[in-house]
Amino acid sequence: MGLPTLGVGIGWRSEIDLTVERLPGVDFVEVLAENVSPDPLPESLRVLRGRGVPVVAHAVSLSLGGAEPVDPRRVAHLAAVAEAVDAPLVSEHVAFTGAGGLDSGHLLPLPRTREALDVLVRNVRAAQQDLPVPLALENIAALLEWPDGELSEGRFLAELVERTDCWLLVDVANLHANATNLGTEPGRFLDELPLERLAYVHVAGGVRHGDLYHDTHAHAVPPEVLEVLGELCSRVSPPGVLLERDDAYPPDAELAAELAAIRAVVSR
Amino acid sequence: MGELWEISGSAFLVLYAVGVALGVAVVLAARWAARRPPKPDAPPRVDEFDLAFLAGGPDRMVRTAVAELVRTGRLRVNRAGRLSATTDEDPSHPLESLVLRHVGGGGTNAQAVVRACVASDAIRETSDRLTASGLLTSPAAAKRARWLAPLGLWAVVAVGAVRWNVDITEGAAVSFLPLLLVGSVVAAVALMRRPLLRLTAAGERVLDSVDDEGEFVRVALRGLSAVSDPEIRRLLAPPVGRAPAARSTYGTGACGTGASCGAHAAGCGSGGGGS
Amino acid sequence: MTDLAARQAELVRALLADGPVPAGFDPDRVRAEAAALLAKRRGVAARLRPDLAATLGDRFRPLFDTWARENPRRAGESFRADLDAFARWLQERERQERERRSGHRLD
Repeated sequence: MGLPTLGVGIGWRSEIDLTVERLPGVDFVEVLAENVSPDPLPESLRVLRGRGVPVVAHAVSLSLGGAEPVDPRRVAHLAAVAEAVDAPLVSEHVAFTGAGGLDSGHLLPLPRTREALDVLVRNVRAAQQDLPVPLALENIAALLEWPDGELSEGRFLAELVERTDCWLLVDVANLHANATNLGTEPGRFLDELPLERLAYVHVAGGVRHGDLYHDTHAHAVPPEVLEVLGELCSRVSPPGVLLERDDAYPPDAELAAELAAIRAVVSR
Repeated sequence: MGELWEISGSAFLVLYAVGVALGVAVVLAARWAARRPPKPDAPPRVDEFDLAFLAGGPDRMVRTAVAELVRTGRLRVNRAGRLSATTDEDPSHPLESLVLRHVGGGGTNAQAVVRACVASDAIRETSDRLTASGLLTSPAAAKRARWLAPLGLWAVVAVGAVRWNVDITEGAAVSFLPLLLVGSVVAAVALMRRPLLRLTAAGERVLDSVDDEGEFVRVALRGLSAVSDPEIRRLLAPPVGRAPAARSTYGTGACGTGASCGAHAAGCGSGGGGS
Repeated sequence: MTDLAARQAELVRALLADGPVPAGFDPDRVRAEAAALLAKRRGVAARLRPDLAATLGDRFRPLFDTWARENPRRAGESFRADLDAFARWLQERERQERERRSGHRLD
C-alpha cells in the first residue's frame, strides 16, 4: 500500500488562514488536530479542500509513548478531523506528554529502551485500530536524553516501523536540533531509517541561545536545517515536505520565499 | 392707545422680515468666512494620510493606515478579520507605528484599531498641521460660525416674540407675525444644527485636484470601498449597517449616522457642510 | 511497565513541579527543558488571556512563573481552566495584599 505524493506544503493555522490559501506553491497543508473542530470545519479548510488541496491531520497530544494508556477521546478527535478534511494520512510524535497525572504541554523524549518501545508499539497499534487512515510518526527535538538508551534513535524508529507498519514523518529541524544539543549525527540517523516508509518531512525554523538550539517554529528556517533536508533528499525523494510555522508569522513574501527555498532543495 | 413702538402691524412685519434676512445672511457669511482662513505663505504639502484626514477625518485616516499596512504585507488579516503585525520594523509614519504597536501579536480587528487610534497624538498632530495650513477650519472658528453668528438672528426673533406677546394681550388683529415667527425659529435652529464642514475651500480644492493613482490614494480619498482585493475589503470593513461617513464633518454631523451618504465622498461633502 | 510509568512521572515532576532531578539525567538539561516547557505554557497563557498579560505588564512573567511551578497542569485539564485557576490565584493574592495593607494601617 502506498501513500500519495504530497509535494511542498505549509502548516495551516487560523492566524494565517488566508495567507495559506493565497501563497503560491502550496501543494498540501497540515492542520493541528487539537486546534480545529471537525464540525463545522473552518471555512478556510473547506476552501482548500474544495480546490483539491490535500489536508493532513497532525496530532500533538496523544502521548503514544506514555506508560499510561492513550486517551481514546483524543484518538477519536484525530479520527474525526481526518475524516472531515478527507486526510490521506494522519501523524503524531514518538513522545510522551505527561505522566503521574500531570500534563507537560509539550513533547518529551522517550527512553530508548526495549521496555519503552514495547509500550509505544502497544499504544500505536491501539491507535491505528481507531484511525481511518495510515498513521505516520515523527522524531522529536529534545533538550535532554534518558540515561539508559539501548537503541539509537534511528534503530528505535526502524523497529517501531517494523512492528507497527506505521509510516515515518522525518523532522529535519529536529534532527538539526538534536545534532546541536545532543551531539547526534543526522546522517547516521537517516542511514538507519527505512526511508521507503517515509510519508513526508517537516521543516521548521528555530533559534540558538548559547549552546542550545531551540526548535521554536517562530523564527526563519536556518540554512543548517535545509542542509539536513538536502542530506535526506540525497537518499530518497520525499513524497512531501511541509514548512511549520506556529508563531511570530512573517509577511507573506517571507513565507513564500521559505517555501521556494524548500522546493529548490527538494528538486535539486 | 397707539401701536406698540409707534409701528403699525404691517410695517413691523416688513421690518421683522428684513431683520431675519439680515440675521441669516450674517450666519451664512460667517460660515463662508470660517472656511476661508487666511492663506499660509507656502502652499501646503500633503501626503496620503493627510488626504485621508481631509476626505474622511480621523476614522478614515486610521482605516487608510490599516489598509495600507495590509496591502504592503506589514499587517496580516485572517478570515476572522483579526489583524496581526508581521514585522518589528518601525514604519515611517507615526500613525503606522501606532497601529502596528496596538495590533502587536494579534487578536484585534480593524474596528478595534480604529477605536483605539482615533484619539492619538498622530491624529491630533495631523489635524493641527492641516488647520495651520488652512486646509481645515480651526475648531474655534467653526464654533464661532456655528454658535455665535446666529445670535443676531435670535435677537430679531426675540423682538418678534415680544411684539407678538403684546399683540395677544392687547387683543390685536391676527396677523402673519406668528407664522413668520415660527418660520424664523425653524431657520435659526436649522442653521445651528447644521455642523460646519471642517474642510476649508482650500482643502476642498486639494481633494479635487488629487490624482487618484494608486490604491493608497484611492483608499485615502474614498475609504475602504477602494480596496481592490474584495476579500480584504470585506474583512477590514465594519459590520454591515455601520458604514462610516465619507467626506463628513467628522463628528455629530448630518452624515454621521446615516448609511445613505456613506458610499460616496461628494454627496456628503457639499450637501452636509454648508458655507 | 510500571517501572516506565514511575520513571516518566519522576521526570515530569522534575520538569514541571521542581521535583528532584532523576538519577542519570544531566541537571542542566533538565533545567533547560523545564524552562522551555514553562516558556511554552506562558506563551499559551499570554495568547489565551491577553487581558491578564496586559493588566500585569512586566509582572506577568514572574507571577505566572511562580504560580505555574506550584501548579503544574493536571492531565485532562484544559488550558482555559488552567488559566482560570491562575486568574483566581491572582485575585486571592491581591485580596491578601489589600488586607495586609489595611492591617498595617490599623496597627
